[in-house]
Amino acid sequence: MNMLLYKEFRIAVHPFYILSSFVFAALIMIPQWIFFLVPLYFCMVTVPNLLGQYRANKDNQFTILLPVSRDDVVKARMLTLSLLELIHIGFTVCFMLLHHLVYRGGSNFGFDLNAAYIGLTFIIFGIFNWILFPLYYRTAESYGIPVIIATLVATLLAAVCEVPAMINHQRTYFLEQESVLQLLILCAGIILYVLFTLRAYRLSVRSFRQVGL
Amino acid sequence: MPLLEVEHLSKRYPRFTLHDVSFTLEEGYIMGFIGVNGAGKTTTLKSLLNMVHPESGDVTIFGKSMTDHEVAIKQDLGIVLGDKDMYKSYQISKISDVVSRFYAKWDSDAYRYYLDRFDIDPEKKVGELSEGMKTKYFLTLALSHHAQLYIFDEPTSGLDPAARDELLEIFQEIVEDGRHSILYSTHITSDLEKCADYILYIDHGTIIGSDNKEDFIAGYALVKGNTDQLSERHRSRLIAMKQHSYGFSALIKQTDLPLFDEFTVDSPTMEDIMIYHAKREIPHEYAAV
Repeated sequence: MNMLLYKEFRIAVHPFYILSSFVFAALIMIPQWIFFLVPLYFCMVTVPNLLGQYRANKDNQFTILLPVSRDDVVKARMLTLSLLELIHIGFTVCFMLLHHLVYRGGSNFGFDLNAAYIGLTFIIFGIFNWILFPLYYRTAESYGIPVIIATLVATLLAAVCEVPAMINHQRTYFLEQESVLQLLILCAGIILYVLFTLRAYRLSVRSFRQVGL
Repeated sequence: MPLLEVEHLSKRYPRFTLHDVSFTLEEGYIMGFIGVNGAGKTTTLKSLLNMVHPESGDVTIFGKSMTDHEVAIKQDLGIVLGDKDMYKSYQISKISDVVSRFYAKWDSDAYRYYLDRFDIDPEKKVGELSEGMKTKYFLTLALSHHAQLYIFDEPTSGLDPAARDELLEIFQEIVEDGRHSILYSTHITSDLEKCADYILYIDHGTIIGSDNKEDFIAGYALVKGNTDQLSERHRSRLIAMKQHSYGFSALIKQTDLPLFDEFTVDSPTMEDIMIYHAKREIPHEYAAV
């Protein structure tokens, strides 16, 4: 498993994907911005590019000849994407703190940058994984439709979070004031992220066992 | 001891069926897997490596079921399949570094030896190599971890005659100690004549012969004569026939030879056997569904 992860980060994942997460997270420094676009950029830019690169490099054909099991191949790829998601969230947290330092609080046009925002980002990524991977592993090659469907659902979730805040900021006011509630949402988000991703792994493994390479 | 046993392997695709493939490869031998393009060689190799899932059949390698012990078995397999455009924008040294970590018996000296022998520059990118050199590179990887069984899909295609000859020499060196075996597919019959102890012949997804090379060739005869001499009974025994202005030539089974005593009989070459089989009509039970 460690060797597979080594392979992922040595040849499959270009450092550009980490740099792009840094750049997307830096967009948080735009004042009065729609901050839920930050996780969505990962879904609509990083993921299709990465899956496309796997296909262009014929990674499945390369990896399956190594002494590894199919289940581990799925696990390594999903762990890689999850690690990239966590890096993306990590950069988001850094820029969120910087945002507060630079702008010294103040109300935002949409959802505020706080622990609840990070918790909801975890939920968006968890549901994105839950939809994307099982669909993707039906072929382990075609990623267009799985990415579109998963991104649309992620966008819908982001909209559900953002739009009420934009229309009537009072409705989400409690999330800006209640730090305990924010932390609860953050914890729930992390737990749901793990549960959704684990479920995605189980479904993906089942699909990939049947795929002909 | 058989290193590889394949029993009743079947796989059905919409336009192709791999039909009840069974064969055995003993320790210390080279088996040439021959058939025209599309005959089912790659599908068979992928099926026995669990890359595609056969509907039925068992594959036993080193006495263990491939389904149950895939990871352990692959440690002792050296595999090169047809697709060599993997990670082509990456440096050879980088790919090799990754691959080496997966094998408990990776031998850096053997790796360097084969790089030198094949004249491969490890600083080059895979995509910068010619098709023949790519084949040599992936063979280098397969030869560098002391595998016991080697499975190669058309390893000689794309190689120039000198490189082909050298590769076949390496094959001989590998099996010399009597403990290693090679299964390699090819449609280049001269390779088999130079370097194969056993022949496994596949045609339209069906194994039509698995024997040692001499017996395999001796199992067929080439008959020549005038077309007018051919009765319906004769025709029913022909595997395939070529007609030309001065008569016909046809491939038959050696066992049918007594029927053709009034014809001129020749020994076929491996190429003749392959060409005539490719010309035969597909029996209905093996035809695409």
